[in-house]
Amino acid sequence: MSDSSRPKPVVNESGIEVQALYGPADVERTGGYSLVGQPGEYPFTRGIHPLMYRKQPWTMRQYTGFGNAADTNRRFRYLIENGQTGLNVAFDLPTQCGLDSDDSAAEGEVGRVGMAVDTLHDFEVAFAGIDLDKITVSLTINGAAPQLIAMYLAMAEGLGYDIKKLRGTAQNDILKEFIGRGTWIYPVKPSIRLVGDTIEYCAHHAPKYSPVSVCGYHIRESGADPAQEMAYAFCIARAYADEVVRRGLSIDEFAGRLSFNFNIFGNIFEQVAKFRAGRGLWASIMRDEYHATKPGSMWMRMIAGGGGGGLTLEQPEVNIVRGAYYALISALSGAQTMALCCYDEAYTIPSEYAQRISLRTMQLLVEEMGLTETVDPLAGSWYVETLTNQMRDRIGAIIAETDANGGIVQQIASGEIQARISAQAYRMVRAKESGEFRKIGVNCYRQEGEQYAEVELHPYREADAQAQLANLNAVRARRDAPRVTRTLAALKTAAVRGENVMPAMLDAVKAYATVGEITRELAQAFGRYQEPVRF
Amino acid sequence: MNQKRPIRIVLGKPGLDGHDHGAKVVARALMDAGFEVIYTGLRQTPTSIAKIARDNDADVVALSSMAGSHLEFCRKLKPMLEQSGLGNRLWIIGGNLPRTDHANLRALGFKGVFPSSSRLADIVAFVEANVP
Repeated sequence: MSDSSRPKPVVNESGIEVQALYGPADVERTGGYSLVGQPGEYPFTRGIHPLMYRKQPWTMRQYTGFGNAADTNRRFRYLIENGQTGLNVAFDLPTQCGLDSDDSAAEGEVGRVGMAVDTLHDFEVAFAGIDLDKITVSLTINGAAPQLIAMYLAMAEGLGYDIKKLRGTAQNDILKEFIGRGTWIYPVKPSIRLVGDTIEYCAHHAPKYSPVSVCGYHIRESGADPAQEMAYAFCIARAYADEVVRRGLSIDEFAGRLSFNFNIFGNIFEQVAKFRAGRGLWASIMRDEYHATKPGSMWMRMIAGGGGGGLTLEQPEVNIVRGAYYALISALSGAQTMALCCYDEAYTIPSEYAQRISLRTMQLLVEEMGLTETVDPLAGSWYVETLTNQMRDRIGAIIAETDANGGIVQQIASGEIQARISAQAYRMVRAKESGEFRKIGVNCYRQEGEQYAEVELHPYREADAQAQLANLNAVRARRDAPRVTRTLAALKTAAVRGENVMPAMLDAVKAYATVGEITRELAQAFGRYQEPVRF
Repeated sequence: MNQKRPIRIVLGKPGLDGHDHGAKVVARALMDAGFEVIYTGLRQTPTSIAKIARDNDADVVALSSMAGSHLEFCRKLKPMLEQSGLGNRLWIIGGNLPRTDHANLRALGFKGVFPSSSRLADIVAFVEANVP
């Protein structure tokens, strides 16, 4: 073959060279089929359940929340009426940063990018009329997760639900907040301790509740490649597992309720291979490193959603098509839960119309496209199996490298991971600007003069924020003030003594202590995070 | 010491928004262009940005805002920058900035407005052409 006829080398984002053609020898060369197995059996590469979507399609869970609890409750009901099967709650930035709506730092931010929460009262309003046995709720909360998990459990208990059977998820992955997203509050070490407190508490009192969803998603959004996304998420999950094991729990007492949140954009086959490889690798980490014995402890359960990082401001209607491919990838990858960033999300909080299109996109795969009929349909493809083997090696190598360099916790605390990922993000932006990395609407097939499409912007209503302040003042006026003071003091004592804070947290939220009051108590015990700025 | 120092830019992340992907990318582009960049990190108030800009005698005050509170923030920041003697410096802002807000931001003194997907080279060229 002459040089001119040899195809130009193609390397995927994870750094793996992609061939023009694959055959059986490529699978053998990269490790064979030894880690493929059967769905529902170790190492779960093909899926965590034997029948997967034949038994139950993925949960559809669009990220939603804005204004106050009453506003958000209306949107929740709209989505449920349209066939959504789970809820994924967006909170405003003051809530996420542990501030009350009347804090001076919250001015102009109350209810802007999510629902405002100050007290248990807001949870009671937000979930009114929603059957929490049928609709599982995911709380996208991290820094203030202990408060909000406590509020969710207290709200459900107040409505008569059996907490022992209550399902639901909290994101509660603070380590990734230090890498991307940035809703940290306390320093790294006490932050990990709080995650440990929630896992330990739920293992004993709310054993069906998933207290953590470890997010590769935001690490990818910050600039990580797909292999790093999964590797760093696994390193972070191990840090939480270590924290809980250190307290004397056995891995099988809690690992079954750990879950993951991953991102989808980019090359279709690289993403599918990433998820198949990840499932096998996580199972081996849990079995061989942590000596888990229950299959559930080895499952990489995940929400895998179409990521904002793949969508563009330019020609936003094209994002509807991108979202459809992302949903297809998620279904081909055996996700338990799916969400899609909406086509208008580069501009605004999604409109009802945009949310409905995303929901219908997922429903199409179930109802019309046959994606639920057969488990792991890409298995046996020489390309997909080879790439799955290669992605497993690549993810494993990044984990080993991270461990060798002091471990994920130390590298996050020093800002090293953040600096590496932001350097990659910069290179990617440069590659998009030069046209080396193709992006439709951005560097090819541009339609000049259409940089800003006409999309319906979500209105920020000052009146909703004012209503929230009125709610907060009303709750403060009618609550039992001495009980609030007493429970907050007990919470701080637990924090200072190194006890699990969750029992005292439950007492405080049931007394209608606010998110901000609780944060201040904990910050007195733990201090506040100082961000390392490194380039 | 009469050699002219590089253009000094204080790049701030206003408010509670933690989305710093764009801010860090722009910071690197400005550094690559030979400017000195002081990145504030997250959670800055108008007071803290004005102070950092004044303490560092910034030639350029740049903000990156992704979560929609840019107008309120800039309204508060404007008098503070002026009181700090930085009224004559170049103020620019980038991020998720709806088109309907651009004129208001310019009226508040933010001469350069760079919405998401602006090109890095355009930001650099604007700073070079407009720095006082």
